[in-house]
Amino acid sequence: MNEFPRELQEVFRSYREAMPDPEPSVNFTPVLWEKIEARRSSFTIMRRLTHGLVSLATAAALVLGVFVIPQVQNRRALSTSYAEVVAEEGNSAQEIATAFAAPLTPVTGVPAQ
Amino acid sequence: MLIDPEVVGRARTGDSQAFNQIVQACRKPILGTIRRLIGNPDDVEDVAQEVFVRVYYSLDQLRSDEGFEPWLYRLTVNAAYDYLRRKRRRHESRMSDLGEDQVTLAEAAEGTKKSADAVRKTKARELVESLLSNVSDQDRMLLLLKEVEGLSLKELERVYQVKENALKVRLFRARQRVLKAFEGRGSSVEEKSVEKKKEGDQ
Repeated sequence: MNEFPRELQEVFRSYREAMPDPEPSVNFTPVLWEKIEARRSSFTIMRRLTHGLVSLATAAALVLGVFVIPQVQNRRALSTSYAEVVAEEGNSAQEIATAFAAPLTPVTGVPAQ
Repeated sequence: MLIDPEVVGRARTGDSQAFNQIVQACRKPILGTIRRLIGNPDDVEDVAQEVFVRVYYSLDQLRSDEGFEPWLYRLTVNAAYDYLRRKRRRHESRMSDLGEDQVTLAEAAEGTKKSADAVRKTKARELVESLLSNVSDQDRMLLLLKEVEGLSLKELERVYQVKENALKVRLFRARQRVLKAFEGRGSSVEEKSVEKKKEGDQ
């Protein structure tokens, strides 16, 4: 169906006649400009808000990078195991292994007086 | 609604006078299109102003100055659709507006103030509104742009930015629904008149 039957086409034609283009009111253009300006100021507020948020986020990232992260890294030493701390202090894995693997010899002699 | 591409070009660069020229040239046809698309005369100016605000802030998105009119139609259709969606959300049915029309019709039929032509137009308006209530808002707009605004398929293709075949399919389905409602309405009127006749005979 590429078009309506004639009767229905006539109905739509009458509808078009019954709904002519209305005349705009005297205030149409002034009110339009008011709306444009209002939208502009809301855009400006949004832009300022976005700039503020971006600045805040940058500052927060800097604070995190300069102060917080090094502190967290230092605190890591407290949560690491003894073996890890020893390893970090320069002992080789071999030394650690030897220290742990060395058999405990009972003290047989009487300390010299 | 013929806009010189040069005026559009100047408006794109922020020339307020050029923008005013566009508003002056387009506002009346746009008001008419919106009036027919939304079916509520009270909010027509509001929606039209919203269209022009969108035009003002998105002129830089227009690809070519020559494509201004389909683009304007697209913004108009979108604004009208947004309006209808908001209206539906507010639980305001279009029936209340139709009710207003019916009151007008009744006044026209009862009083002798309005001519027979005015009554015919009001009836046509009411009939089209009731027929279009059988299709979705999108299809309603598509049909109105095609059947009432007189846009060609090529123009609709540029407005909706879809392939002509897709539009044809959509139009076909929308027309079928409207035609079905139109024929159904005819038969229901016939049934009513038969019933009335029977009651009269008894």
